[in-house]
Amino acid sequence: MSADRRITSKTGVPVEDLTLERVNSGWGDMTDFSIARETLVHQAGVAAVGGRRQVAENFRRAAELVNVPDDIILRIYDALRPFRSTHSQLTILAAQLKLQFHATECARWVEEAAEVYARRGLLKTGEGAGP
Amino acid sequence: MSQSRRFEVRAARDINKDTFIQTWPEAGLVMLGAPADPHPSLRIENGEIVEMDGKPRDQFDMIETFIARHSIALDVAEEATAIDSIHLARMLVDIHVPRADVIRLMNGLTAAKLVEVVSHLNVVEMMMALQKMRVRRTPANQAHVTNRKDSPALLAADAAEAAFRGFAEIETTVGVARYAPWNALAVLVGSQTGRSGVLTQCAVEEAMSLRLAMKGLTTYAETLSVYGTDAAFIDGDDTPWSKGFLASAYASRGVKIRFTSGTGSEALMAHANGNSMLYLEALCLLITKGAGSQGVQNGSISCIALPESLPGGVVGVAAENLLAAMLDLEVATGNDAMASHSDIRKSAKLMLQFLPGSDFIFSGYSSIPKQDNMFGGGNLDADDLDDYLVLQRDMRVDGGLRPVREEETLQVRRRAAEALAVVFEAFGFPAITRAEIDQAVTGYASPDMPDRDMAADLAAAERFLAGPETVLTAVRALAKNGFPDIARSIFEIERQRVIGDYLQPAAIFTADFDVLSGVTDANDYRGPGTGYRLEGRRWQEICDIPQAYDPRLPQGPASGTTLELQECGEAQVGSGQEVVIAVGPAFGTRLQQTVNDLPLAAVLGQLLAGIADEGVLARLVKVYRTSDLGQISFEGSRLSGSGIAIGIQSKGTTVIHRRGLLPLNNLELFSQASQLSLEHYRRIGRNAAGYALGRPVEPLLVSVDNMARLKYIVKTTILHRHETECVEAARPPAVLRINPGNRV
Repeated sequence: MSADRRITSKTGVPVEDLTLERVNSGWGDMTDFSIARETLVHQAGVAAVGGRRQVAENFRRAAELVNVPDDIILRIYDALRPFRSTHSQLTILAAQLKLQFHATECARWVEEAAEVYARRGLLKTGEGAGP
Repeated sequence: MSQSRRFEVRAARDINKDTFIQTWPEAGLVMLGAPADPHPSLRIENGEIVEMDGKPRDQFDMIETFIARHSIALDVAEEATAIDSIHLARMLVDIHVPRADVIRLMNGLTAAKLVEVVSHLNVVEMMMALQKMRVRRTPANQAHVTNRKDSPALLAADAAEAAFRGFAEIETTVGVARYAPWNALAVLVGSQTGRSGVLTQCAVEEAMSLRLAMKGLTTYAETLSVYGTDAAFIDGDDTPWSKGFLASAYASRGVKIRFTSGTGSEALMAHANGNSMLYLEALCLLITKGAGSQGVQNGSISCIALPESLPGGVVGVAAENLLAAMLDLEVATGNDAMASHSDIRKSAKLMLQFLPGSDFIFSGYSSIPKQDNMFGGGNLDADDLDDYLVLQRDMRVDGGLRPVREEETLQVRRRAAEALAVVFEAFGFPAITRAEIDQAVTGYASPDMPDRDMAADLAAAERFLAGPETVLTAVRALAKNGFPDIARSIFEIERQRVIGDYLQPAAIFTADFDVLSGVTDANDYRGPGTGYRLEGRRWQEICDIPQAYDPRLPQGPASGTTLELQECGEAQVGSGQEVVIAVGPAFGTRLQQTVNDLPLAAVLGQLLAGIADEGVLARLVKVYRTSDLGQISFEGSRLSGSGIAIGIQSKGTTVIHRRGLLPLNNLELFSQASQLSLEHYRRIGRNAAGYALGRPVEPLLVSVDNMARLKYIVKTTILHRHETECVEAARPPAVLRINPGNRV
């Protein structure tokens, strides 16, 4: 499945060049062993061909998150938990995803959460009303 | 207090330690058909769901909103909804309808409709459907590896053994949360020692779990719990959007995930909203689907004793596994938490997943003794492994495990513990001692492990988590210090992260790092002769349990004196008050022991002594033309001067016969040789002599053992086969003499 395409790590190293010998000589860190955005887009395509629309959508969102730093990922996750964020805080996060990381699908995900949380009373206390 | 002793005995049985209740639908304590469960309905306008299961869009709660927007395939929804549930149910078991066709329609169903479909199936049909609908063709299994002390050497050894035994995934967790990076590391190193390509995870709080994955210490996560009501979800401090985001976050780091749900959790949290367990589980599975998780672990998981308290609970749990498979989700089918006190009930429940096979039959088989299971589980544990291996062989079912030998297992355990010691040294952690390694190899559970300095360990674990070191340091240390194969396996695990093929549904690795998934190993079951078949080398492997021996091998003398007999010509009809002892054709030659391991030399000695006790002479004759006891004794009595003979087969079955009786008649028959002691043989000798003297004889009573047939039928069959192979139809009976010096 992976033979007919060129796979590189997040840092651009071709997967063939990821060798134990290089690692043993002291080369590489975990970012060299991180999945690349294009690879996740490819996996999304594989899932879509198999009729797995939602799995594909998840891989596309994941592709957008490849370049989002760990701490920001954890912050967004926390912000999406119930009663953690105001509507505008979620809207700002969505904007950051869109503008800073070109993560449009993830931004849409956060915006949708903001809308539903507002309607279902799941926003941080103090701001009940929606947009 | 029972008046009846029998009722009293039953009341004390394990099954009556389980709790049973009647249904209470308002509290969600019902598997199926609660009054509040909606009827299926679906209306789509302008490409959006405007009514679902009887509720208009403006009344959708959080979960329903999520499902309406993400989970249901709108392009088939109207077509699928229009099909009668009974018809959809029949498609699930119809071998003429391919899995993909069924999946396409199921993708368009609402929760209420999904439940209506499975409610038409009986338990056997559910198993048939699971066999057809599970994602991966090849079934697999997951192990739990934990211990109460968080002992790293023991974790590594146990992970190695679990991998060596065939588990495709290993899940660990912590006693003390701060041990998480160590436990993940120990299980990673151990697993790759036992078998390359085993996936590992460490179940901890989400942020920590993500950090472990980012450090390269874990390859999958399944702690993403979802619930079927808003209130339960919010009590769990999450929403479908937060869990969905987490799913994407894990995938963005090349980590496989599966969600967790299961019947009973909402009732346990008092948030069932009057709905049945199965309806709420269908909602959970639609959330899982909508979030794009490749799979789920369900089957009630830690709540299993709740559905088991209810009528139809066990079949309901099978139904929830099936619902997941119907939605094209990888399913790890529970069987992890304690489901019953009764071994009968536990085994029966297991069959519903074990026989059809699932992507992971257990979402955590306790491969360690249950006292060390930090998930609070262990429905089947390390002590039950041999039972499980026998079940695979009995049913010709691939339960994901393979039989192993003790010696090779201990080698694997030792290598894992030693490899981890090397890794610990490289990281500068407090050392793993030789004593720890030794105990990890041969001990039973964590109380056998030497205590470590917990404060120092936790400080080191925290420094490791916060510091720059990653799994690559471990790879280098292993390669440099005599474990290049383990280094290569761990390296390859990390490299696979970059490729990402194992993110696809139901993915596992073979030992060569080939991915088996819904993409590369799609379930193609279409009835007999199709789908996964347990054949060839894998079937041979499962057959080859260490307890099974080769029945063709000669039954060698284990203990006692070997009988050496000399032939002294053809036996003639005798005279006087003698007793003939007529033995079978293998007696003292090919066979040397009875079925219960009495040496034939001693048996013969006792028969002779018993006859001598009464002052009667004995003559020993070997019958060649038959191995049948009736015929042997018939021949003996024909030759006996007194007409009395003792017939004895080499397996020890004995009869006293008198000339003139039909071959199948007798004076005394001792048909259960396993019950005979040497003392019995002596008394048989005495009784035979008594008959020869014409005295009144009190027949010898031997106790009856209900288990004798179970215990000895195989050995009896083998011994009798050996004796029959020694039959020489034309050879006349011979007089035997015990060799001088062969003291019997």
